[in-house]
Amino acid sequence: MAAQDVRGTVSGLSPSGGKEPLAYASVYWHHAATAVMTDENGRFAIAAPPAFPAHLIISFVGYESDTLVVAAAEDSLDITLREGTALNEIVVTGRQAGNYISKLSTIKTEVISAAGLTKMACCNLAESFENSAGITVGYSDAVSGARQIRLLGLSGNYVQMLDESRPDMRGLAQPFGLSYTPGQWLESIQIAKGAGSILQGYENITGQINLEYRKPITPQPLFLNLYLDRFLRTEANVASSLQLSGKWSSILLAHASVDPEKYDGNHDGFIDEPVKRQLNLANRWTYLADNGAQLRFGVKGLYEKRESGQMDFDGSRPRDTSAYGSNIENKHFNAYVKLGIPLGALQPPREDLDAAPATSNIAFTADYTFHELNSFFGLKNYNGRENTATFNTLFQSGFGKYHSYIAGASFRWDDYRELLEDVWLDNSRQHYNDNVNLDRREITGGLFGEYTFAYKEKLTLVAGLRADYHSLYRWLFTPRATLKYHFSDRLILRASGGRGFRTANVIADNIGMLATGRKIQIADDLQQEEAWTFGGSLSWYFPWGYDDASISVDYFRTDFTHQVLVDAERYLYEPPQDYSVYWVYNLQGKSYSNTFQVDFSVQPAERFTLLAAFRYTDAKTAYAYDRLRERPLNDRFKALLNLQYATRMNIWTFDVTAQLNGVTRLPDLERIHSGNRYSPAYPVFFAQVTRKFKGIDVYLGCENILNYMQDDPVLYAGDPYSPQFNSTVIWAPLMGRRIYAGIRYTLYK
Amino acid sequence: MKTITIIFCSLFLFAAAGYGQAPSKLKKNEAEVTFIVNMSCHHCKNKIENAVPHEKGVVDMKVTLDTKEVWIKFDTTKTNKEKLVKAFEKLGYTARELEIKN
Repeated sequence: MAAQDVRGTVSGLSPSGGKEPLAYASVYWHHAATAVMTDENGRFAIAAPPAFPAHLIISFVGYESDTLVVAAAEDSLDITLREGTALNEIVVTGRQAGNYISKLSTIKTEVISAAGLTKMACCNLAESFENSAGITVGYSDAVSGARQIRLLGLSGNYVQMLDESRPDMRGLAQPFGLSYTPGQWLESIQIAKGAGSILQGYENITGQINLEYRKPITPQPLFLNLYLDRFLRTEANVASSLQLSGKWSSILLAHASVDPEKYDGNHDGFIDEPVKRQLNLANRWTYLADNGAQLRFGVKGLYEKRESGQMDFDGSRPRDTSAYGSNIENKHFNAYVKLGIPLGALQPPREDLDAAPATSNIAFTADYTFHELNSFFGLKNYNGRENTATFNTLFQSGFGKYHSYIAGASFRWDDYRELLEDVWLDNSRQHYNDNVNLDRREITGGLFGEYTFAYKEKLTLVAGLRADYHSLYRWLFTPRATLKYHFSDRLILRASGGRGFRTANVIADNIGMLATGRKIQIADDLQQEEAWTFGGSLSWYFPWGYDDASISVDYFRTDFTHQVLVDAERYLYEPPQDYSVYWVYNLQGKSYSNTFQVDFSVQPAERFTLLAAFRYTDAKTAYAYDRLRERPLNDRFKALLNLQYATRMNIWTFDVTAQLNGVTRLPDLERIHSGNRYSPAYPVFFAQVTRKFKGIDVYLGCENILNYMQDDPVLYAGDPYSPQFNSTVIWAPLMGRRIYAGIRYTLYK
Repeated sequence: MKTITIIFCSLFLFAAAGYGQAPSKLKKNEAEVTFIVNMSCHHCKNKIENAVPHEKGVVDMKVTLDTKEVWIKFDTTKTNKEKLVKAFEKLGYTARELEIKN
């Protein structure tokens, strides 16, 4: 190298005090047109500037940049960069994968990134999961159009939905909750299977799905999305973030959609999906103080109306038994505030590593939710109103080099006012009615603690316990633990186990029961649901194809101690042998699910990714005390293949997804068949093309390309006021081929 | 079921066909350059990826946020390094050519 070079070494200093050579840091003279980069040992050599003294700038992502005044040609500059403190986002490099298994988290977490969210139309959250084998998306019934997910072979009711770590879509918001989060509002989704953290409460049984929204601090003054499909569903989404000063920032999110047309593709006289209108608004604020304190708060409001039933139902006329109709109206409001304060100044790094102090924080969260659901299904009326307030406070700290802990307290107040005016007819057209009052108030106060032992990047162990006092069910103890072990950089083992509790919202959880001709018979002594989930996974990353390929295998088992069963087949075993009743009662025997899944991903070539996954589920429940049967309408397996190819700079992106949906056991509703009957396995194909222009993405796609539909989603569609009328036996799409197009416009600041 | 098997198999074949494509080499009138750009967050990367590919003469681009590197392949008859540096400046960034020393 030339003698007039300036040379030196760049090191990085982390808050815990570690000092390591920094490779790939950039080094350049102020005002110069060129730069150099450090090598693996942090060394660099840069040609001397035209004149001394000169300013040398050294920078690296995640570290604070440094400027040095260099007086003369030197060859042993020793430069140390401090790790930046403000940067707490996960930096994704290279091409962003759509769906991937996170290497970082302790619990096995599938991440659906922003890129993954644009793979499909993703009008709402339900559709965002079509590319995930672990989650099955279906309908609760053919009338309400409520989308349901299943995880680990169990209803989505047992999954805890989180809005940036705050529980969301609980209670009465649950049945239609998936359509209340527009996919375009989100930045990413994390799906964590199995027993998770105790920090968010005891309600998580099969897993947690966390939604990360677009952030106030991202300088995008305007994002606009417009969507239209062949059924004339029209949707508009707007996001606008504003940074008012260095400290205050805000984002406004808006969604309006309409499904204006009645379609009856299968000619059974029933509208395939309800005519809908939705207006959804949210406003979120962030304040970042100089001392590291953060304040976040926001509000969200929603109004949605659905009209469904027979094509010739006229909502303006008084309700009678001439035509079957249904109206569902939902109003939702949420407000929250989150405050995080670091205790003491950020500690300067020290050389003696074992005594490196961890920073301590306290955090406080308050949350209020109002939800009102007013509906009728034929002659049945169901109206409910929910008020929920929660408070959460926690303290986070650590000791020594490897230990950290969180301790906290929580309080929740749940008030439900629900009335079911059940009306049913027998075979001789005689009317019966029964008013069921489901009012309930729950007050829960709890203390919790979680300890984390993180040994280098090798082993992480998290153990948590919470003790909650519940006004109806007394003491609830929730222990949970997770373990992550790196055999090497490329082979990772994870295991988790723990307990969860949940109070069933009988009607809201099983809204489809209303779209039948049956009487709903609810036992008086319903218990709180309780289950244990254990499982683990092994992920292996290996160099194959253009980048690392990965294979991941996981297994989970959930065992219920208490469960509320909704049973349409109890008449088969017990008198009165009356098939016109839905029985809701406590589990007496066993109820479990075993789920086994394999995920494989590879990049066969640059910008070409392939994901393949297969899941097998065995879910059985003892109905009518001791009849252990496969849970009805639960798919035994799902196979998935997703291919994505992008041209250079992602100017064009092509996506193809193939799903093979497994068989489900069909419930025996009228003692027609002896033994078990199963729905067929069937494939569904999706395809989408996206073209990127400057600031604008245009996409065109098709869902359900083969136009696969269930022939008879509504049983006794011609006689909707008979006791046999039932629209809950849904195992395939209700809508045929859906061609859609949309645009996304982003204005960058 | 047979058609399903055929469809799945052909998808796999399609996948296999893409395997082993070598990265394209420089064609006539093409040149490459690596810039160090003062970007520091994912948003900056998105912003650059949204705009620079649509600059005249840009054939290919890769952004590596960790090292602040932006690699660009361009058509020398349509643009040059100075114009590319200006394109970054228009977005509010400074771009310095990375000197590769051997």
